[in-house]
Amino acid sequence: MNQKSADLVNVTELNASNIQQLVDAMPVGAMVADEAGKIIQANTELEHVLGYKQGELLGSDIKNLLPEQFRSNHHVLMSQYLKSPQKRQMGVGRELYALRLDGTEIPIEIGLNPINVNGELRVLMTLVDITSRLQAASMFKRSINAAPHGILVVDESGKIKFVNPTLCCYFGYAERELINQTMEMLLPNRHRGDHHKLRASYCSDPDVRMMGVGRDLTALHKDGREFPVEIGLSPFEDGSNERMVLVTLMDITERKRMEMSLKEINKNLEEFTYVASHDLRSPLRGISDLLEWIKEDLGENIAPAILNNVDRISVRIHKMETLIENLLAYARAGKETTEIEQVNVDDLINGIFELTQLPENFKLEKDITINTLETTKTPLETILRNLISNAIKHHNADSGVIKISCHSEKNMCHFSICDDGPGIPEASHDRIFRLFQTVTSSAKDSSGIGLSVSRRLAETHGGRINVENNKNKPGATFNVWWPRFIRMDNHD
Amino acid sequence: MIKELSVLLVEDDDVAAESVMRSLKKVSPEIHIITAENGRVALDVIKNKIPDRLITTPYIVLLDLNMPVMSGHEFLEEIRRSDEYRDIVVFVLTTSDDDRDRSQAYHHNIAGYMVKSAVGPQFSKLSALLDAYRKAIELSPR
Repeated sequence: MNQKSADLVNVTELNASNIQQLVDAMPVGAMVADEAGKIIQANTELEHVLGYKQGELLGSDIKNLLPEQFRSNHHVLMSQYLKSPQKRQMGVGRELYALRLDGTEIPIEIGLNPINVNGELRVLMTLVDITSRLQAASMFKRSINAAPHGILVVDESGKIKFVNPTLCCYFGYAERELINQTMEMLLPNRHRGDHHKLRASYCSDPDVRMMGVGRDLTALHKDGREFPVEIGLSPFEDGSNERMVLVTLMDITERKRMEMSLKEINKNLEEFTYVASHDLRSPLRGISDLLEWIKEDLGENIAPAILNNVDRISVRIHKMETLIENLLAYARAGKETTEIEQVNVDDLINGIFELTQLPENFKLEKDITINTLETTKTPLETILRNLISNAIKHHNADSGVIKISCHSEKNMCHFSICDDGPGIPEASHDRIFRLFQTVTSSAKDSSGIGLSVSRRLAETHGGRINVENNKNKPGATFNVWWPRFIRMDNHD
Repeated sequence: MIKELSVLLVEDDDVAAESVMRSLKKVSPEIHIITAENGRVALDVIKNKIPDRLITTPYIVLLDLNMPVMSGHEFLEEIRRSDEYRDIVVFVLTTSDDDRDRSQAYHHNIAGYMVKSAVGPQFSKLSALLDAYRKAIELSPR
């Protein structure tokens, strides 16, 4: 075995003490073996990984570190390596195991480095226990397989490299029917033609994003049926530095169905609004006219009992009309306004007070730290006007202070309207927002619609509203949280 | 002699029709009012196909929207499509304040859209409007 002259030319030359230091300093398990396979150096990390005491490995044959079934062939592989030694990984593509002293086997990775120690060929071996890495990989794989959404991995040429069971289930294919097929098979025919161009443009500038935002994406089931999907893309490089795309896919059939049924319900509600606005009003108008004419025909000499009843009918007709108007107002409050404009908060409040006069001896205090809002002005204005007019209308004294504040709070704009009136009994805080409810029985010309309309408007436009009694002083404060930013969803 | 303005009132509800007539007569006792209970009948009236409801120019149409047989919208569509009747002056008089009704009606070149409230005094504006319209006709050379 005297081949040093030829083979050691390209091999790093080290002396024995250097090699000891080198091996000891390595952060992974390492050892040096001679051409016969005898271990002449080993570091503590290696001893630890394989369960040996210090120095116990020295002088033993590396064969002892192999599980039984790999031993017989090992000397062949070793002598092949020694004929042309070079730095490389051992057993690429195969799973390697080491035998610990206690007889257990662990998965490992081994690096081989030929070195020249004082003119002799030696092999420096590094050994890494990959148990936890394999566990992580298998955990990852298990969670991908158990994911509630479909996952597939596609390479740069569009070939399917991996699918999870959910994806197979969505599409009705078995895994083997998909692997190594081009992914276009999952698209409806009409989208296949140009898809490779889209793929190429994605690959030239890959990023993590949703696919086809704003468009309705559909996928093709094995049985030819199309179903609506949502798709997320994220690029990654696999173990061999191939560029891949991880595609997550959600079957949104059920959601689409619910959207459709919601649209249907909204349409019916609009229909109802129309019926209420016309079909209920017309006959009421007729009744009112007829009553008027009866009064005219009866002339001056009308019996007081009849007149009394005629008047009672009148009152009820008015009430009925108010109810219809309120129902309409409430129904309309559920319809989202989409007209966006620049709103100056201070101007908005001042505008409300131009129409809703502050009584004499009442004071207005403003604390507004938001300048302008890009929002739907009408519903916001309606809410604030309702709350401000309530604060004035329900005040129980001849003088008072109304405080209005507006501050930003995360992505919301927080308005508060604080009065020093009688306050609202705690028990009624929920009830006052319901349709046709008022706190006082006298209900000074209030229809009990303002607050329920306000709440509906707020919720329809992504905001909310509540009431609290002031602490340690009379009066109540109504809070309105209104979105500072426009929601872009739902606007199609 | 200046011709008196006539009114074709298209309304399916007899009480509503009477109510309009009473209000108009209060302001202009001489006014000639012809009624039609739906859009189909109104078309026959303006074509003078109904012997006991002959109408003479100048006239305006007061049109309800929601009617059986032929609605106000369908009536508007018919007359705006015809060469002969496309210039007829039409005011919509309805209980519907639905935006869709309003814009659809204006799309067919109506002269005005009035929402009848369910109760309370009304038509005073309508009467003023008719007055102004009558004066405009008197001034015009035709």
